[in-house]
Amino acid sequence: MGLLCSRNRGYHEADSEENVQAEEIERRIEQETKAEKHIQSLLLLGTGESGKSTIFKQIKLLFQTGFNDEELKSYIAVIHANVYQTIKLLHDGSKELALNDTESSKYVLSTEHKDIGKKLSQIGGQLDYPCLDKELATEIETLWKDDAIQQTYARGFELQVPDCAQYFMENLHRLADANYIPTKDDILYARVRSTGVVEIQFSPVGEHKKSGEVYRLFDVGGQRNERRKWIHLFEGVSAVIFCAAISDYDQILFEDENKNRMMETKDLFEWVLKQPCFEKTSFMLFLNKFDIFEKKILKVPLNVCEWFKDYQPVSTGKQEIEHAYEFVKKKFEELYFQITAPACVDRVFKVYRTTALDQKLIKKTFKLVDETLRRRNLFEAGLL
Amino acid sequence: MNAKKKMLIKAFWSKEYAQWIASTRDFYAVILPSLRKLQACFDQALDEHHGGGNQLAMESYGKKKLGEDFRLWKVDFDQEDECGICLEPCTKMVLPNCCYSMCTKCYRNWSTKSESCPFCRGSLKRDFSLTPKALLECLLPTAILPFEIHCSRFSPAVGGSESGSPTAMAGCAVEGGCPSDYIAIAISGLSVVVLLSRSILPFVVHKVSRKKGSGFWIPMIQVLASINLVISLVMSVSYLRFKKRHPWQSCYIWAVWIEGPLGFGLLLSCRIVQAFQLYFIFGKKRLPPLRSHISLPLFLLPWFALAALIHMREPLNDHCHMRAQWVVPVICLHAVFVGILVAFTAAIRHIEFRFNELRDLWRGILVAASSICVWITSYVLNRVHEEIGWLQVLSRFLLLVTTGVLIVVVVSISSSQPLLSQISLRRRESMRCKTMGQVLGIPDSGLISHNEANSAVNPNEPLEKLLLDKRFRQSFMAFADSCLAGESMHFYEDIHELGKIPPDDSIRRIYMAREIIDKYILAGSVMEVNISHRCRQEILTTPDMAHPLLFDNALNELLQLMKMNLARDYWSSIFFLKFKEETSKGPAGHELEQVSDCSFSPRLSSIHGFDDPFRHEHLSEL
Repeated sequence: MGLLCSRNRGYHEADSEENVQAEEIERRIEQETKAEKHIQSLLLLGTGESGKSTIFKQIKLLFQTGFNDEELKSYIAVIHANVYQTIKLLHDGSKELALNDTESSKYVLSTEHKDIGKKLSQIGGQLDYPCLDKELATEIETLWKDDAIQQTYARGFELQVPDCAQYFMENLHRLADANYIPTKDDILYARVRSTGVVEIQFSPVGEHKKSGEVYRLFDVGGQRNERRKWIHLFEGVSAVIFCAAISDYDQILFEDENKNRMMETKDLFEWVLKQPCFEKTSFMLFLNKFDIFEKKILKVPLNVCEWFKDYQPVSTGKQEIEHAYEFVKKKFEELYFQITAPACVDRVFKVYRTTALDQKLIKKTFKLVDETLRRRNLFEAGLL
Repeated sequence: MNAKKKMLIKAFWSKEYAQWIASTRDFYAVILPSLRKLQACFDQALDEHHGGGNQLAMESYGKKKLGEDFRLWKVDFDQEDECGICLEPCTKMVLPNCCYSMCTKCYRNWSTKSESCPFCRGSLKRDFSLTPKALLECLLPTAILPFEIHCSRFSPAVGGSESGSPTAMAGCAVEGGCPSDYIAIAISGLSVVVLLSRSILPFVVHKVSRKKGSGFWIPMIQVLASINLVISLVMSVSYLRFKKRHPWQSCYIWAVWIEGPLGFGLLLSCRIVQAFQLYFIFGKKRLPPLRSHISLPLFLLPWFALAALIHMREPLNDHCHMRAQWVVPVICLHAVFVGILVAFTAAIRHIEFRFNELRDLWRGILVAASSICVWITSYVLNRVHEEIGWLQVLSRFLLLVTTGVLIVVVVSISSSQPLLSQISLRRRESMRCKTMGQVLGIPDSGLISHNEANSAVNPNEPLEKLLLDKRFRQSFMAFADSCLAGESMHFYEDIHELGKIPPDDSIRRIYMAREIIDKYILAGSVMEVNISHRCRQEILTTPDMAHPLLFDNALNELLQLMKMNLARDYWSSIFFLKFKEETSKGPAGHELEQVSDCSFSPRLSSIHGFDDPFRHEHLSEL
């Protein structure tokens, strides 16, 4: 489907050679079909910015060869772009809030920073970003430290400020270094909207295909327009990993600023569960971005989201975080059991608490997922 | 007296009463007292109270609307009789079954104590068999009982049955079933078939995919409305000879509801909505402020209101004809809507449309206006010369034929989907579906020119520079399509074509911009692109659709997306390798086998593609 490559191969040659070639191709197809049967496909689904691509990158780092030098260098442009875009967003956001908000004075930039702000905003609006050097880094840092920008950042849930903003702003000088090579963490924090479909094939136990399960993992875009492409991937999937960022209960969508992100996640989860081709598919729900959730729950109550409006805080500190998390988990489980038809009641459903940036946690989580899937396979094969 | 009685009874059953929809209440209120008069006053003049003949009296009663006020029914009775119970002179009630009478007060007292008649012990319960025999047996001093009368009205069928009517039916002129009627039905059926084939043709034969949104639905609703109009005319005007016995055959459904709000009204409202959209898009250069799913019901409101009013007042007779005072508002509403269509069309008459929208609109207006004229003339002539049979037949024929012509001409898809209107079975060269760019005559659309220099492509150059090269663009687009991210590149391509239109040619720019918005920007569209909410709203609420920088922000966002996301994977994909090889001077074809040991990171190896040689090699390495 959609591949232009092999059409003309071998068809220019003589007939007998052609037959040999045809046989060869047939044999390979047979081999591959046999191999295909042992390959389990996993889908990473979820709304925009829920952490799917980060998990995808983690799997690549853990079970494949990771990133080579070239790939690491290619991420520099991405990281720099993130920096410019973030600072532009914050600057434009502060200007807007200064105009429209009731407490406009706290969003007004101090006069000495106005010029820097304009310049950075203009750079951020270009197509081709300049390389981040020390000078620009200092300017961005001064602007970041400005009070108005910090206040705007506190209102970041209304703007589309990426989650990596704080991390990159704190590490500006390292990023601006002439010989900068992105670390693993830098790459995991880098934010790029996914479009279309990306796939990798890996094996969680060593590199040998035969001793472990072979998985094929698909990563997709999460925005609304990307979802109509998902349907091409739905057939024959072993498991769906649904990523839900629990920390965006107070944020709005990138593609529709009138909808709350958590409500969109809820609707999407319902939609995915109702799909007829997923009747026998295992569902792994990753309640992602727990680190941000921890910090946010103490400042912003869960009730701001319609779905969680019956939440009652009980205490403070760690207990509160756990209580809030359990509440959210319960909500998702309730939704699952409400939607699941009696026919698919025996499909596997597991909930995991994840922070996609934490490699150890993801490795552990994935091992659990792997185990669940293997157990299910044995069960289906009748051996358990 | 017998003669007078007979005359009265005959009058009662005559055609006037047959056409008069009477209720039991009316019967008790009017007929029975009058008959009682006849009985009681052998010597007295019949028109003591009412003046004029009996027939006239009954008619005047028949036309009064009687309400719940029982006193109205009591006032006309003679005061000479006494109540059989209290022996007081009073106005009386009569029991319907046994026709004994008593005064109101006594009746009330009695009914609380017993359920049987005080005189004959018969049951007080209502017996609704109002046969003429029962009527005749009940010719006694009368009054009305204060029961709530629950009964059904005489059905129009009984009232309107031809069996008792004295006037002779002039064959098929009134009843329907003339040969010309069948011919007219055939012609209108043919026009419906032509209409259907014209609208369904692109989807069935040319397999064009259905566009989402109002561009698809408005023409379909027009087709539906046309079919409704034709069927409503066939059912309500007497073309076919059938008796209206079932409730679904009632005149009100067909002649009022389906002809008006769901037929002619819907058809014209859709056309008005289309003209309204054209006015905003080409006249004011912005998207219409009211979406069509709000403006269409808005235009239909007067039709529904009028239909509801007619339904409540019920002025239709069994031939589905209305009196002049009802026909006038109906025709006025028809004419007003044609007038609104004229107004919108006149407002955009100076614009040079490219898909004959204006011609379609004028044609539709002309035919609609002439149809209304034909309807008015035929109605007037039929009223004036009711007895001329051939006039009725001719006017019926003309009515249906003009409606057939109307529906074929008025329904137009050129306003909503200009490209589809280009497709026609007759012309061979338009069998292929062209793009908007090709139709608008944008130079170099869709053709790969072979004159471009074979320069090597440098991956370090920014993507936007590289995309200016047509062949690179094609290759990149193919790659993007293969991993299901192609809409961004198609968008880029269309914006590129838009950029080729000179800025002062606003009509062509608007056509292209509208096409781009329908295809890429509207939520839920087929190739919706991944842009932010702000960007989308900026485009949809723009005050100037012909602005050269309308899609600039969206294009920037998408280029950023492609740079960060797709470009990295492109350089290591087979598409780039193929492109390099095509632009290089070396022989093409067999070099594919040599590149198998390049570092190869497939973005998407395949979904169903077993014929990928690189996948085979990749697997064999494992």
